[in-house]
Amino acid sequence: MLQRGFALARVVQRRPNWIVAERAQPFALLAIGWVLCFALPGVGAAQDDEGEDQEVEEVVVMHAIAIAPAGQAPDKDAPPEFLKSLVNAEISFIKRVCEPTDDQMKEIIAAATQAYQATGDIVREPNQQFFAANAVRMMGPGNEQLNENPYDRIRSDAAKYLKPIISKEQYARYETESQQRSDFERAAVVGIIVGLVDDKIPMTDPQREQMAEMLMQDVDHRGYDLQSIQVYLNNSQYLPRLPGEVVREVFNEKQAEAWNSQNSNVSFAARFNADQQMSIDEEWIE
Amino acid sequence: MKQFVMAWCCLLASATTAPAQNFQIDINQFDSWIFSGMGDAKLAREKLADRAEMEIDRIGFSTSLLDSQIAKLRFAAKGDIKRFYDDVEEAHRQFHTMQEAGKIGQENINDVYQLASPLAQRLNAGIFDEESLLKKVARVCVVGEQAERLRARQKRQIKLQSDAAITLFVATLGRRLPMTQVQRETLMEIAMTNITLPDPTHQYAQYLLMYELSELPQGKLKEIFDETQYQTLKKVYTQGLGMKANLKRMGMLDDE
Repeated sequence: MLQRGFALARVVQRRPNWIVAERAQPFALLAIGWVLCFALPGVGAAQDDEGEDQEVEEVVVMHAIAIAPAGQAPDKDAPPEFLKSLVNAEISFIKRVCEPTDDQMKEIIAAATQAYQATGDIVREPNQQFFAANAVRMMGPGNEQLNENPYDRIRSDAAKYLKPIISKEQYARYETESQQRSDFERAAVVGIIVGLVDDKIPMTDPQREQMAEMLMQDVDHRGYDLQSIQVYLNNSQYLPRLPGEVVREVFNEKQAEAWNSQNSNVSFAARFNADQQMSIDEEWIE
Repeated sequence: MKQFVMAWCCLLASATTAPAQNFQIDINQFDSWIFSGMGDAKLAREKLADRAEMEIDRIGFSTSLLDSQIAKLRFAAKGDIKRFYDDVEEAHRQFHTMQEAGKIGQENINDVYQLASPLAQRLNAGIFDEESLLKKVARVCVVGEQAERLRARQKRQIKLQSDAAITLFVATLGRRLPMTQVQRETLMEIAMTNITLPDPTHQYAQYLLMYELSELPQGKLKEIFDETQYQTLKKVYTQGLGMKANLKRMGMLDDE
């Protein structure tokens, strides 16, 4: 069985590892070619969200192509291992915010374990993979494409299983803290987007403020996330997609023209890789 | 880059089916490695001219410019564009020299790529950086009160960018080290008071922040977090400390 192992890399700033792999295996080359089937030419179309017929350029760089011996296919319903550390981190968050009793904690862990066991559906079937212009696809650490943002999934699961376990007052605290955390993360994403745009298309202070305000209401629907937005920090020639309304209302004519000339019709893939070594040392579910 | 990947794959794939057959890279392929981020050489020239106008606008946001100053800035920007295309020409010359010597085959692909890659990087990073003629002329021709306003705006911009980078860092940290709103606010306050990144948009800014975490008053950090959280924080800044030599090498940290 050919196991395709490709990963997103910093496309421009860093020399890809595979360039030096001059004596690559023939199968590996076929696999590279397979990946590049996704690469379509795309230049210079407007990059707000109204251009439906845009051509898309897929920016995917492979670190390595591994050829693995034939083995058992992974169980598609099995919960992805990398989500476990996210679940553990969420329980640590609950512990600090809700201050549950020991008995409540036991129930929370049991419910979280059950919710974790049902997360197999987050991995997209290989034949349902997709990419779209200026969108960031979410991938797991094994390059499996994900149906949804794993943090959103773990948090929405927690909001469901917590309610019957803890008191109303504790749950209200969780909701408030959870909302504040999301708002903070959203503000971080918006701050990065505005900074990236301003770097290429200089804006006045009121324009930046207006853009930030509008994006705070909208950015969640774009699929941008703390981790996925960072692919743009490492690929500075590309800019994240902006809603058409933001382009129309914030930019003047000259800026809008410059925006439309940006060569940003790319589809990035961001890999969610839970770094357990750097995470809090609390293992609630095994 | 995409074109480079394509070419490389095709070249290698053909090598597997016809080992004896050598391949060649032509000048169009070479140019596509340089200009793919902006379409092609012609489009890039137009976009650079637009970018220059925008950079002049950026200066104009701080202080209104006289026509004579705008003319000088435009002239300087043309110089930057010319300097870039002169370097492209020089790369072309070296490419043709290699071509004439028969050194653009499979075994030399890395060498050829190394000719194009720095130019592509310069183009993608933006040629109107602080070392550009445009910025140098701006520093000279904008004087007195105008210069003060310009400097004040630049300083404010860096502070804004630095705060955005710190916010990103703390938000990302919160996913490894879950914290309450009070803890997050206090950490932000300590970080924003004590840290201003010299180059917040640098690719390694987040690593610098990991390092800077170790420089923050640890007593205050211990007051914010419980022991388990603090140990996680230590793991993060220990990784930052491990990057110290690299950060210095890249000029992001001063030698003591």
